[in-house]
Amino acid sequence: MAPPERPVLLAVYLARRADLVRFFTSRLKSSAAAEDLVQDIFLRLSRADPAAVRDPVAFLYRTGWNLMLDQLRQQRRSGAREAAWSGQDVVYAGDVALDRSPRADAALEATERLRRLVARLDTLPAQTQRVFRLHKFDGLSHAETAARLGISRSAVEKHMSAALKTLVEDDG
Amino acid sequence: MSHVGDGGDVNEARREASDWFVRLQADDAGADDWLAFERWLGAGEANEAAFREVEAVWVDLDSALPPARTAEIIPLPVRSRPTPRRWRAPAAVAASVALLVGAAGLMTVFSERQIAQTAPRSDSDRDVPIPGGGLIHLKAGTRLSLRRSGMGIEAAMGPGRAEFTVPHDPLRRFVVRVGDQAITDIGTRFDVREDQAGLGVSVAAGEVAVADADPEHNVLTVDAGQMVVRRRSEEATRLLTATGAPIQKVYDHALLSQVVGDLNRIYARPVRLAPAAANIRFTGALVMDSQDVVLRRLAAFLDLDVTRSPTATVLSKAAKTAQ
Repeated sequence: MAPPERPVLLAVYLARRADLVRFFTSRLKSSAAAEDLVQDIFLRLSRADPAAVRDPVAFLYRTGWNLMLDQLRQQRRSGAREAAWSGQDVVYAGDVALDRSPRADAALEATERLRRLVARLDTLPAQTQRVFRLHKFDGLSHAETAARLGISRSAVEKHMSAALKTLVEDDG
Repeated sequence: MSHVGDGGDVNEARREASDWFVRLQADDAGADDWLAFERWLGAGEANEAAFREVEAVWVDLDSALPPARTAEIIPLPVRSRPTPRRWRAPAAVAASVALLVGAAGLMTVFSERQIAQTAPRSDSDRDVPIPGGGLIHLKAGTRLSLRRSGMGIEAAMGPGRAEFTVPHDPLRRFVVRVGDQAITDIGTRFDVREDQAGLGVSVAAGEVAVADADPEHNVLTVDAGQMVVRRRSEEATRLLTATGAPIQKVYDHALLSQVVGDLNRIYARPVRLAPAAANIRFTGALVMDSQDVVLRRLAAFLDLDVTRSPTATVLSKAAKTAQ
């Protein structure tokens, strides 16, 4: 017997489906890609623990955004791989390319950019660095980061925003 | 989009985009936040471009190695008989190209990409530390080389057997390559053996992904207590329990969405479900060998259509039964 909350989640999904497709079509510039993604949201929804979903609408958008970021991650990694090993005999391990051939300029450029980003991160105020690293690299939520450092969640958001602004402005 | 003369607008959009990115990741981000974000995003191309920049920085940082690691000098000790089980206080080795020859065998240290190479020893096992943490216990007669790959460390292994203990590190991927198979560690303890019969990977703790030369279609996630066997005489890679029995899932009146969820945890190629099929229920046992075979069984049992696209496999009610 399904828990009573699940029909509510499914009902919200069905009611919001058209909105989700519109939103992700705008973000992905493709209605077909958006349809696929919204279908994937449904699958995630069907696996989700309804008791853990506080705001069903936000959950749907957040799930879709996470899936979108996963796609972006794969695209950027495969782009770097193709640049690095174009025309070579490449073996892939999941999303890691394995090959002995030298790196091409584009891949070096991507690596350099990463080094610049990490180096810039190191110049941020110590507390901002701590917040950023805990949330970004250790995977702590804002609330968990706040608890770990003994600060408020709004302080975590301020540090995260400050870090991102600096990184993006330097990167642009 | 950045244009000469509108730098102020661009930076303002980036600042707002950063604020939105963080707000949407907050634990208490609600429906109102998302609707307000959608309005902000639609207010101008600069907003959308700025938000894409923030997203790109965010995902690209996933691949960042901490500076301490990228600048790390790789210590590679030279060992002499009798062979100790573990390295202790490895001597520092200059980062420049060096060649070290040990009395018990050959080990070379190269700068940057190639880290270490071991010649096989027929007389005894040896332990090889993994730069940055972890240990490889190499069985006698096994050849192995370590090198840096863009996002971590790669070990190439010849015929033989090795046990790997790799601490979880989201910033460093550890991959073992054996022929055209690649085993990607996800923080774990596992054992790889290759001989004339084929390849075997057993996972004692954690989780690894095993991919062959076409990982878009053939990647298996192997959990603790499971093993993967790929016999030279067979095309398919089989997922088995630690005792060599097939992995079997038993369902009692389970929703098809739950079954598909299990498939998606085991196989890399995603399976999607048409909404009309989500509420179909399945009772029975599924032996999880090759994904194609599992899907064929499921489709035949539940009267489903299986449609393959370049990115996914979709299960839907068979045309003759769909409403």
